[in-house]
Amino acid sequence: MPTSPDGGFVATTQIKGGSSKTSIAATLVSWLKRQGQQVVALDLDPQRSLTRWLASAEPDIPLVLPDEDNHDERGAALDACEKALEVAPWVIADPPPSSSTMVRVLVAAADTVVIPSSANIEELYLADRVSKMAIQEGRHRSSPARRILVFVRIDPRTTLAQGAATYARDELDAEVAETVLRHRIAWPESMSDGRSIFDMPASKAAEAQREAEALCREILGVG
Amino acid sequence: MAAKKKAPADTAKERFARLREQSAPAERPERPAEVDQAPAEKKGRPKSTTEKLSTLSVPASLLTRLQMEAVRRRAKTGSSIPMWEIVAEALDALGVDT
Repeated sequence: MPTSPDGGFVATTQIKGGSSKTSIAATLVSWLKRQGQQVVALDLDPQRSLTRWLASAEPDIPLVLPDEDNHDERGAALDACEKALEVAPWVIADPPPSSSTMVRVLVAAADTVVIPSSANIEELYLADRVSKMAIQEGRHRSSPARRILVFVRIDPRTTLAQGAATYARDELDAEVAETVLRHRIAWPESMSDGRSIFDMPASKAAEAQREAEALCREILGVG
Repeated sequence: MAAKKKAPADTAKERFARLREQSAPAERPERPAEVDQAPAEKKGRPKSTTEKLSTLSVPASLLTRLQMEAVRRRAKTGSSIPMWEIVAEALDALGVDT
């Protein structure tokens, strides 16, 4: 079930770490704020990268964290998700890079699961597993979460990228975003500088900003 | 004939509430390790699969398909056979000189 212009629960999910899921979550949060939407960030990844970035880049956006003293992972995830939904109609969740209980709870109930992948075959394989997990965990719903694969850190001119894109469109049980996020230095720079990609100087990040905007429109349907 | 009744659209809030009502799923039985094992043969590998495959005149989408099958096979069996060997075997079967 996709998001609506009024809100939605979006989870950026990958089993592999370092897949740009936090960068995409940060971009979605920033974009929604710029569109005048009420949004809350839900940082379930124990690395807390989104939390640190948010404190510097978007300090006025509310943040929800799971209760670290609650050792019932499923209960902690449900508590945090329900709390976030009380705060704002848009929830952007950044779960840990795994197929843990916490991630399974998220994909079971999210409206949209955004799955980043490079053209690397292992990463694409894990992206496929995320999509299958969302279908499996959402089997009791009227329809599973919308699953959208986003190619990141790629050079679309390469044979590897073209092969991966064709494979994904033909074989994976997920939408493939038309927008790709090319390998650009502006992405890691915005995360390490603690700045939104939209606040980076255009001289450095104009192309990345154009891609970010197109991707947000494609995923969220607003703007 | 009566039209098939469409299931009502629900919200994330309702879905999380339903998950809470369900009891926690039973522990899954131990399964063989999947993809997180580093292949023992990785050490000293002269070229990556991608580098090797880039020298062949085979459509990119076919190579991706073969590589994905190789990844799946390794995950399923817990095998540490290098991906290149699995792909080369498939290409040989297709009559492609590797």
